Amino acid sequence: MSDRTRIPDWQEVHIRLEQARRSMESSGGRSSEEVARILRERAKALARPPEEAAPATEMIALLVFLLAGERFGLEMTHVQEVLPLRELIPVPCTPAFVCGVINYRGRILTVLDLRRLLNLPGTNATEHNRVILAAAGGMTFGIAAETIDGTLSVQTRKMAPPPEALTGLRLAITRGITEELITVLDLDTMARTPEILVNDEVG
Amino acid sequence: MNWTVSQRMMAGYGVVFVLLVLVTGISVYALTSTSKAFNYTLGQQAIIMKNQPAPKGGVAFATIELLRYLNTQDRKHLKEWDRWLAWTREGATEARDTSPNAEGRRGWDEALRGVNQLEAVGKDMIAAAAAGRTAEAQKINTERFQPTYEQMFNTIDRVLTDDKERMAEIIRASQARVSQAFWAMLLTAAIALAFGITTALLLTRSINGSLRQTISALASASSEIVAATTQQAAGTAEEATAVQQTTTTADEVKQTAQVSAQKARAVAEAAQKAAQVSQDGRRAVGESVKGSQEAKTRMEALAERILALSEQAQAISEIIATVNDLAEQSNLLAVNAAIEAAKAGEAGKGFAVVAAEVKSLAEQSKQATARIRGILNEIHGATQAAVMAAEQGVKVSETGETLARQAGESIRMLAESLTESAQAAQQILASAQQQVVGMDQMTLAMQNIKQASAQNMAATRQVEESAHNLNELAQRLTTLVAISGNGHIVRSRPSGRVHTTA
Repeated sequence: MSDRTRIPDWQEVHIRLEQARRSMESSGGRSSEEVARILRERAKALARPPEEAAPATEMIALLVFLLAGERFGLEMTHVQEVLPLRELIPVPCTPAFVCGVINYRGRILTVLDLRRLLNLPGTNATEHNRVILAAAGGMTFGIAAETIDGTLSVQTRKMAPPPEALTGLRLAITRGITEELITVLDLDTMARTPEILVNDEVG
Repeated sequence: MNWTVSQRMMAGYGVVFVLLVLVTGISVYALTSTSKAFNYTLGQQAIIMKNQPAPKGGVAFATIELLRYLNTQDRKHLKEWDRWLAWTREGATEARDTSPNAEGRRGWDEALRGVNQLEAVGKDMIAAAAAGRTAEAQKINTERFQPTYEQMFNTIDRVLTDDKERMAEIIRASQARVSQAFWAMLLTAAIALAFGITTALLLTRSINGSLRQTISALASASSEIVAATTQQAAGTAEEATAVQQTTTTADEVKQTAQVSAQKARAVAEAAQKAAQVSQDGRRAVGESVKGSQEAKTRMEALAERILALSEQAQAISEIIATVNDLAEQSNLLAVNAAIEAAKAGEAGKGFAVVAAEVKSLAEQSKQATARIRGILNEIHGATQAAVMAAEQGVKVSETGETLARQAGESIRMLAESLTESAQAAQQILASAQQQVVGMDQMTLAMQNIKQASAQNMAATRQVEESAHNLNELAQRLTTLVAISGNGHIVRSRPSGRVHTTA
């Protein structure tokens, strides 16, 4: 028998089964009062007065996502859509930071791996679940991400400048680090970097 | 008295001889005296007879009286007539009776007849006289009476004379005979004496001889008897001891047999009880096997149910996957909605909130699905464990069933061996009972033997006594035949008494 040496009290078991059944039956639909209650609470929560943030403060909306254990943020202005990563087709003779291409509503989009690009540590086995459809520098491309944390509005003056340890492209495209330790990326800069342009020809 | 046979014989014969002599002497003397007396008597008789007028006188007197009567007619004379006639008759009769020979008797008979004749004639005469016929009476008297009277007278005379002669003859003869007898007696005595002595001697010798033989035989026989008796007594003693031992042994065996019978009975009872118990055990085993099989079936059913449950969980997990997928998509949607809202700027703030709410709902959904997945994993694990447990349970119940069957088999074999042992115990019981019966019979036989032995003992004692008596007899006989010294007579006393337990 299993490690349960206690002989079950069958009566108790029956009672518990009965309770579970009842709760399962009842959880299918809530009573209308409950529904009203929940909606009311929500309304209250939502009815908070907006933050008394100074209107003069500049705020940017960020899309926060997770990659290689770090949280990055992209400006909403660059972000078009978030897609689930499906049918990634690797393309040979491309640099390492190019994951591959996907077919988005008939369009072929390149998907970039920021880790390769920024020389981030991390294992290849990390799952890329999402593709962030971004538009920058006149190009539309996808950025692979593990998870999307959500949107966030931050004040620019609360952003810290990038640390001095960063070098190269990383330094270039890092705009800053928020209070929440989100590394905000500058896609414009990234898009203008010549390294990402792939114009190889395979002979 | 301790005379020898010869002495006694001699004494006996001596006495006889003395008596013989005495008798002879007395006889001689008696003879002599008797002859003398006889002679004297005869002489006297002769004299008497010589002078015996009796019949004659009587007749005469009678006649006289008759004549007187006739003359006087006095009845007194008639009476006298009768009297004298009777007297005469008496005398004649007496003389006839005492007459020595037949001739004499005939004579006297004739005389008596004469008397009767006379009387008859007399009667006639009397009758005539009474009738007054005197002349007739006279006639009768002269014609008949007188002759008759004379005749009778002559007859009597003759008879008397004859008698006298005869008497003298007799006397002579008797005298001769006496002397003859005397000499004969003497001779006989002498012969008897000689004969007696010879016979005595011969008898003595023969008696002694056969006595000696008999004595020696007797002595040897008695010694043999005594020896045999002693042996028998010893044998009887041994027999008695053996009987006692055998009886004791028989009792012991009987007790042992009874004990073993008891034990056998106890074993039989115990075997019966054990058989009962084994029956119950087999029944219990059968039930246990049945129970094991049921448990196995239940376990298998349980496993099936659990599998079904697991498949349901799998279905749930598929659904959850779908839900998760939905949540993901909702999340994406929410993100995109937020993006759009951000793009929309101020106008999109409300939308952003809604999007955020949707996102949070999607998150909750994802969390819930994650939890559910966790629970499903747990369920899966538990299901596996349960199935394994059911499998183990099936194995265990199979093992249990096998064990139960084995136990049943063992019980059956045990029951068989118990039955065998019970049967054996029954046989033991029967044989023990037979043993008891046999021992009883043996005890009975022993008692019979004891009885016979006791009787034997008694008989032996009697024989001993008889032997002792024989011995004494032999000794007495010894003295009788005057054998001196020990010879071959065993002076045996009865040997030591043999004690027998009766």
